[in-house]
Amino acid sequence: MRIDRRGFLAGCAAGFGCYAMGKPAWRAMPRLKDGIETKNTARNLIFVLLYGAPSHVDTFDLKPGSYTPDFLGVEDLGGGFRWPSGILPKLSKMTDQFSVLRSVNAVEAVHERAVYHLLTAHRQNAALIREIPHFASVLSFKLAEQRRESDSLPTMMYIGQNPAKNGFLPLDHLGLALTSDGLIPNLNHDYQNGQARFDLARAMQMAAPDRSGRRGDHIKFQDQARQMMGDEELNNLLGGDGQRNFGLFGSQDFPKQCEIVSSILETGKGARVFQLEIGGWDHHVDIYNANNPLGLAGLCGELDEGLAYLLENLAAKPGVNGGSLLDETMIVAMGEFGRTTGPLNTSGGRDHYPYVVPAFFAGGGVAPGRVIGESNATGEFITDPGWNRNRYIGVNDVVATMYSAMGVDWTERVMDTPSGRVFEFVDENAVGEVFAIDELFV
Amino acid sequence: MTIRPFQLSLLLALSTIAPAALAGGGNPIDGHYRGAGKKQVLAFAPADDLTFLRRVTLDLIGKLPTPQQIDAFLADDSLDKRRVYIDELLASEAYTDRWSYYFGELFWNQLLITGDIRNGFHDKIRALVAEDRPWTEMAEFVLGYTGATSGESSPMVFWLLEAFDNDYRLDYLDDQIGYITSTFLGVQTDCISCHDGANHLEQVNKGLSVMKRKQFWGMSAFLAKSYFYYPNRDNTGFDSLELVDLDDPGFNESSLPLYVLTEDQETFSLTRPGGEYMAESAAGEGMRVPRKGGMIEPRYLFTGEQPREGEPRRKALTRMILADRQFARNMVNRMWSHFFGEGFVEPVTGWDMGRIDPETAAQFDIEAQPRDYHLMEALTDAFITSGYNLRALMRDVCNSTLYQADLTAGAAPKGASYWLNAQRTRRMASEAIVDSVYQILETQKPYGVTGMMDRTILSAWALPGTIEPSSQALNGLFGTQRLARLRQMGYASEGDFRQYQEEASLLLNSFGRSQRFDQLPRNDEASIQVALTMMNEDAIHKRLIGDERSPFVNSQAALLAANVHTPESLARALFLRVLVREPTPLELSTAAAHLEANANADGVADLVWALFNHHDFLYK
Repeated sequence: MRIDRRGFLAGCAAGFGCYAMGKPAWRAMPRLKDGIETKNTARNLIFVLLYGAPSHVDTFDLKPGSYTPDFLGVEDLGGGFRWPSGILPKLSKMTDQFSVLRSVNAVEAVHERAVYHLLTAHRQNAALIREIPHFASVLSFKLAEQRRESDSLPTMMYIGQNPAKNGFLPLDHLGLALTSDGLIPNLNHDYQNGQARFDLARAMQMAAPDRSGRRGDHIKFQDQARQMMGDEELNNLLGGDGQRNFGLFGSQDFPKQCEIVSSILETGKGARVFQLEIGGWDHHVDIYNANNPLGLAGLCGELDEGLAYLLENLAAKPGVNGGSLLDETMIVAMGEFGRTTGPLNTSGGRDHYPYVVPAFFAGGGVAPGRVIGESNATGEFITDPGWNRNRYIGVNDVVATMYSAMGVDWTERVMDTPSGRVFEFVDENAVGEVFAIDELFV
Repeated sequence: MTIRPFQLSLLLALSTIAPAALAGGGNPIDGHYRGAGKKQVLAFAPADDLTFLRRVTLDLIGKLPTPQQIDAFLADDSLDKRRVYIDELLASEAYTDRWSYYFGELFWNQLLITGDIRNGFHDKIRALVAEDRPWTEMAEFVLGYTGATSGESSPMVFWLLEAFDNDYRLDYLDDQIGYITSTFLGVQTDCISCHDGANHLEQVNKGLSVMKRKQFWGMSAFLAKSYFYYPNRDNTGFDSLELVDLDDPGFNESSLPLYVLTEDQETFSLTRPGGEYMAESAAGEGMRVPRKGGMIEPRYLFTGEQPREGEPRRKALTRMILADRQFARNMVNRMWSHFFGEGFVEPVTGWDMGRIDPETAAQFDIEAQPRDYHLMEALTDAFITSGYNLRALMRDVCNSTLYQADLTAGAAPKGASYWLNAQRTRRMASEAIVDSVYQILETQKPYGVTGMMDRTILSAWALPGTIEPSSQALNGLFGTQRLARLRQMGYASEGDFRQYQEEASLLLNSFGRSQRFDQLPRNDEASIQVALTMMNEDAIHKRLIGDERSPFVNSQAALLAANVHTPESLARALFLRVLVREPTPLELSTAAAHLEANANADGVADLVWALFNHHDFLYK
């Protein structure tokens, strides 16, 4: 049976909550491969998109040269961690708490396409753009059965780029967007006599002749919104005056995002998969300007603060399975590609470069203190992939690793998509077999 | 449902008067449903006046009817008032706003460095729409344009969509063909820009599944003579860029060597480039898998047709596209999707030419793709016969019995047209929400638009791009000139102006308008965020229940206090104003009771607030 997406949504509206639905709506194809075992080491996932693409040779895959300014504070911390301690000072003291991958090849070199690739594990294809979801939406879909009645937040919450959205999955898996400083806009009704107003609206709605179809979707979301507004704990956490954020470029808010996500995880309201974002890394110009808050130093300062906060704070909070929250929360940070290596371009910046991209991994079963893979002396190409598959690590392998840690089989396929084309959670059709990166785990 | 006298008369009229007399010249849609053995048109109950009024006003000009329009329409008892009203809308300035925006969105018109290029193209589109020029003329203008980026009314944004994102020339040509076929033909051909259709697309697109990558290159080869170049080597800004065809008879050979943006991404060739599509590329050159096919001759993808003797390639491509029936179908389908919430083929860029009609589809052992193939073809014939006239097409659609039918859930009789039974409820477009909210509260002020500060722009549909309105618009005005203009526009201060633009922009984005720069399509889906914005966003509610209450709310409260309005009459007036429908008895008593208990501005504001958050406000 082919289920029509619209019909499916109408069914959801009538039942008030797809979360409770037992079975996936789609015919999942039996896996073609045997022996896929997921790591299943993480209960939560925090993915940090370094939007704009940081210069790898100035950060996680540091390659100092005559062009490297002093303020980077190049330091050899042992264990393969050559580190810019001047701009990532807190992390420089925590290398025993995270690991770094240095052998990812991103393939795409245009922001829009590369971000899409990273967030969906599929190359952007115009014919399929409406149906392929964000990997976090897929996780939300797969984790739906584990939701409890009391979960007032959606499984997925995100900040920043989300070009794919929920794709063909039900709207419930779209996720909830937070502002760049980690708030929910308009969560508060800041006007007197709110209750009378809401009662009136409710009465009018119930008296309305037609509450079917998309009207019903709207009513459903309105009810969810009301539930969130009525949750005082949530309101204190995510409400406030975050509504007015007209900032266009970059952000100074990453540490705050981390603080809020950490609090959300602590409250246990059902949100488990997060995308955070620091934008502004597209340093074509003037990358080493130490006075520019959106230059390399400024953004690294935020990144350092935020990641260090997460590592410390989650480690200090109890998880639900006996260990700490950090033990059950995987943290991944990476950009959509790397940047050109060697001396700077004529504008004092670095341009797009997809062939060497590092990634930061911590928590949720990740073995800390490891540096996996290696690029050559200038960071121009990968010399040693550093994993048992003995090839470059693709963006799809990184996404597969996140799926695997969350206990989701990344080789699962969905047959009955709207286009009729098979949807692979992680695209293997185009690139060949995809694997989780064993070396990251204990 | 009660049948009002007017509806009854329309039903009778439909059963006795020939359709030609109703539509003033044979409505192709009604004609289709009156064909042999098709009596079902008589079973379509017409929507009541208010439902029709809201539907057609939103669809044609993108905002709610004003109370004046509502009153006048209800008071009019002439039999052809719907036809007259449709013609009024088609002739209005608001129509020009709405449909200029439509085409600006279709071509992704956006700001390039300065607003001038975008604004020039916007104005050109506006003129074509206002003057009722045919769709062929607009397409020819965009596809065939030669000359400067900064030329007055240049459509170069369409040609530059990928030029600087994707600096490998063969990829650029392939990408541009992808844009051209999906925009003008509704067919996404990108799939076969990387691989043959066989063994890839059988389940996706039958037509493409039998095509080869080489055939796609044949299409790209039509663009192989076209180059961007800088006529002046010392000026390599965006605005000095020109688009030129080496095979255009007007091209001046003596200006060689050109400063040409070519295959090498970082450098510029000083010699005349080859002007051929050499399908030879290695891994790592551009984003696509390597090409191996030698020099490719231009051949139209769907027919194999080649340029005529001496015919410049891009002109030939334009000619073939315009002559392609699919070019007309594509626009008919886009319009149908606009007016009925779903095209004959949906998504509108998802045409499968292997399933275009029952006969072709039978070869693939599958059903034809378009819903209601014969109706689609009848409309396509009418569109071509009208000289590709968009207003004529819209007039036919809006005057049809089908469009004017009652769509209330369950109203469509069994066996009635798919279009009646289908789920066609849609949310108002973002721009329509903002325009309507401001119209209802009477708080619309002129928008500030980069490069257009001398104009009075009073509708979101009149904006030339999706990063407008913007407080940046002030940047071109200085000192007393700036202050004087702001006063003229009705702003107390610069801060006042800035805040207004930022709030409007915030609302437009919150309700999901498209983002042309990122080529993100509009998002009309329901979401928690939209619900929260409607309930709590200060940019709306400070003008309603907050500290900048609109004079409209106060005036209604005063009418209530002075007994000019009873709670019932005011409740009804607000239902008409916001939801454009009569309240049900239960709704009326609920609303009136609230006004009775709160006979003041707060009470009025509460009711308007509740109506804004009513699903019948956002959904049509």
